[in-house]
Amino acid sequence: MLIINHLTKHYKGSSKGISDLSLHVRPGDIYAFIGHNGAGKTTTLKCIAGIHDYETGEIRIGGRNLREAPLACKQVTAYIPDNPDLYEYLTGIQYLNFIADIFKVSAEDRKERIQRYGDEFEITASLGDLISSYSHGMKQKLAIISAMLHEPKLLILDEPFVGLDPKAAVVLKGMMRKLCDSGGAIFFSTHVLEVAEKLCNKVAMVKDGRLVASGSMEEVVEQGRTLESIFMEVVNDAGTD
Amino acid sequence: MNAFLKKEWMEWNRTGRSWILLLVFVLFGIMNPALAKLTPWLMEAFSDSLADTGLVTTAVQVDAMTSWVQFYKNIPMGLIIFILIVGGNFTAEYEKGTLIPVVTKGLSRRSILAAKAVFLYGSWTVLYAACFGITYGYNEYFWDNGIAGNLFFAVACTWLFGIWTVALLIFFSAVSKSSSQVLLGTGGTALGVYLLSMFPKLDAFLPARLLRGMELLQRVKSPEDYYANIAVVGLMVLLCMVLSVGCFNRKQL
Repeated sequence: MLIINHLTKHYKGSSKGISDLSLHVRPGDIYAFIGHNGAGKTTTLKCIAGIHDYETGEIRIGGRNLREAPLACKQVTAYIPDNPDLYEYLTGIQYLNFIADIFKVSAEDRKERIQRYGDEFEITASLGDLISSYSHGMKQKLAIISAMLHEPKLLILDEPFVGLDPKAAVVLKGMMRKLCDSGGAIFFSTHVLEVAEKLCNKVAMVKDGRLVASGSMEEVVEQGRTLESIFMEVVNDAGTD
Repeated sequence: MNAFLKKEWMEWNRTGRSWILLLVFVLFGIMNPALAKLTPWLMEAFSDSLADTGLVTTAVQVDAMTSWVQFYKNIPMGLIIFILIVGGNFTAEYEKGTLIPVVTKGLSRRSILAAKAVFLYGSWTVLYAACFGITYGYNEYFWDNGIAGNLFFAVACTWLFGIWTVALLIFFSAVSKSSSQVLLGTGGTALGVYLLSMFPKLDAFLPARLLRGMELLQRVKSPEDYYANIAVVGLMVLLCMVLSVGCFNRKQL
């Protein structure tokens, strides 16, 4: 579903970014991407989402090269940033219709999906209000709904649980499992390692722009240990190498 | 692109920009003939105080040309107000990051730029037409527009100058990060062109001549004298749009 080969991206005048990252996210995977602040997680996600260009490497989504067929890749992908920047002067429903127009979702399908996701997130009643009146959590919910409207195959999420109330977090986890059960895949960054450990079947850890560990959760987290303890050990060891 | 056009329209209405600009241009459209109509009354009202200073007022003849003089004084101001209000059209989105969700959902940058360009060019055209239409209507009612020579050609030239200014704004929006940079770039270039047009040999080719429609109305100049300026403006608009596409595609959002 998502293949990253030797991805390298650095910011101008800075050593920060990502170096020689290679990963493979298969259909059905819920893949956690963890690392300290400034490790390169958001940079990687933004490269996959097509926001950042990158120096070297290759990103393939659904078998297509992101550089050669960016629009085709984006049609099957949904990216939700950690801070959803939405059009404040639109109402929730106007924003969702705008996104549905971009993806050419039919009127019938969009109505059904907006109703379904709106009810699941308990936000339907607020869709007629201006986005400027929404809390951060409500904006996050709206961003998630807008990402799901075109039924993507690959979800790229940057700290998706930040700002969500516990009920909404449960709903989101359910949506993630359902997407993967139907052949989709999810690649997301998080600082909440307990959620990653329970929800994900695979994990990748980055430190200072480099991949230090990756694989199935069973391979990375030995029996009797937690993801948190493995993470602390790996990143500290990587620092002393 | 249609989805983005729809979004732009909704945003313009909700922020009040469309109403403010419409009000400004409608007011200018009314003011042009109104000031002309009021001129005799004003001269009569101030004749005594003017006489004290040694100025003698005679009977003032006003006609459609008086109104068109006002039009050509007010339209540059209207254009400046338009540019000031729409100057942040692109940069506000860069600052808020609102283009990121749209770009990641597969809307091409070219479509975004095209939608914004169509909206800006369209808005200028509608507002300019409103101002001209109101002035023309009142002039036709009170006087006779027939005394003005090459009227529609002159009006089209001024509209084209506005299109050129909007093209500059789009280009500077594609390369700049803030609205102040956009306004400085657009205003600086327009001012530079205006200053260069003081040299007669350069004036024959620069866009600034297009603002001097009164020379056409008064038959001091003929349409042929403006063909080179129109050609240069057309090329500059095309160049601005091509460069804008290239720069916007590479822009870090």
